[in-house]
Amino acid sequence: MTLGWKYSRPIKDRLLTLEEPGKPLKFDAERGLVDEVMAQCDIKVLVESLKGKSEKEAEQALMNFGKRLMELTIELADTKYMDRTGEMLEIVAKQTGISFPHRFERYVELATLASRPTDRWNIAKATTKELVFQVSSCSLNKAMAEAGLTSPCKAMCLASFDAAAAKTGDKLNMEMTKTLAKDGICEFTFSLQP
Amino acid sequence: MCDWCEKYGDGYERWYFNPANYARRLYKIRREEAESSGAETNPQAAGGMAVIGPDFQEARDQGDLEKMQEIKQKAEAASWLTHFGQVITLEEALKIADMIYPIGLMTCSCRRSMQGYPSEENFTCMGMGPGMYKWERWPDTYRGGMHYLTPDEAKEVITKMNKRGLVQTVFTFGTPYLAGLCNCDYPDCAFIRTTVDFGIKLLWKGHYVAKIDPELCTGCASCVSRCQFKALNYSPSKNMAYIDQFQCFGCGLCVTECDQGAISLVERAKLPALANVW
Repeated sequence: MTLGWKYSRPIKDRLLTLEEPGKPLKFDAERGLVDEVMAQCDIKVLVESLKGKSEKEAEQALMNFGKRLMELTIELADTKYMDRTGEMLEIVAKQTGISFPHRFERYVELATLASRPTDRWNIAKATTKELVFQVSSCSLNKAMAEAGLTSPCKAMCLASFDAAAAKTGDKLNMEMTKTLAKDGICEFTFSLQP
Repeated sequence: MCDWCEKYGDGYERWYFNPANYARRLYKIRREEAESSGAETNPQAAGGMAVIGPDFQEARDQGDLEKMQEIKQKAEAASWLTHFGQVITLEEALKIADMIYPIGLMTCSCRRSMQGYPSEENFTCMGMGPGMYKWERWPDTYRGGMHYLTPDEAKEVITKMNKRGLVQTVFTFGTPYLAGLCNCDYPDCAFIRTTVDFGIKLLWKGHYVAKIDPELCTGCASCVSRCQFKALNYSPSKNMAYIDQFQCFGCGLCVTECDQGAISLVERAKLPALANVW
């Protein structure tokens, strides 16, 4: 089965052209998304609520928060705050039949921006088989350390990633390959299951 | 090893096999003020093709070598920061197509500006990576539109272009971010022209050099017209093709053309005289 592409010619039935030339398009995350997510999923409130909880209770609370954060982000990002990057990403996934890594990455990025807008993070690898997400400055980690809490905050991140993968339908292996405490960055590696 | 492999290879055999050089965030928080969307935000317009102007030609006509050198250095420095390319082999291009997503087939801005090709006859360029989701931001660069390809489809398209005699290259868009997998030839490609005709290195040589086996060459000369870098010639007295290895960019187009298997690629690094000729 070949694409049937003729040298230098466009493939007519797959060609995307400007839908409304001249119309400004919004490719970035909306400030409103950040405001709404932060109002409902506030890191400071979460950290406050963890005080006095046992390790197990705190871990569960972090997981619940992560799941709620991602579900809220997805709900808002796919409706009220849908952006052109997200729309194009879905068009491309439909045209190629490939979902990973960018549909999943979109939710991970938006949830991070919306809940911790001042954090420093990076996408270190994004292939069709593997995605590597690194966080070098994390406001949750910092707030927990300042409050003297030692519960593993990765529970929040991992629960949020699970919720994102559930939404995109990508079957992923998720691994925390580096930690802020030990390596100076948190690194999460997501690989597509064979 | 080229400068870019040393700086951005991070343990990979070549810097363009390092996935980090293709990975970028999809998002930032939108600024309140109007976003700039013009040429000043587009590395392709800001660097590369716009780095030399008529002043270079004037200096050349006047034989002002000092001025030429000054313009050349400025042009190269600007280009290497924003938008420059390196030649790769077909095999390397196919490996990249398997690794990076998404890949979009688009019109070539060089062929548009150099030869005036209409969009419907100019789908020979490929963009790759997360920036491809935002192609509508630069409608002029992506004139004619865009269609996306699966890795297998991209490999089919690249192979077809190689067969037609186009050289595979990778291009940065804000070095070291690699986002262009181009299919170039002379004189259409602005980068090949600037590099070969003016000696301004906007396109780096690849990691290989072609070599002819005189025992196998029949002198058919079919390889000569495939060379886009003026490195291959035919010697009527010897009835044989010969290669100026200092001029060879290591694309391998001559290799795929030779039915006799008389041409092969050798690693530049293994040839002491050429190891640092980029």
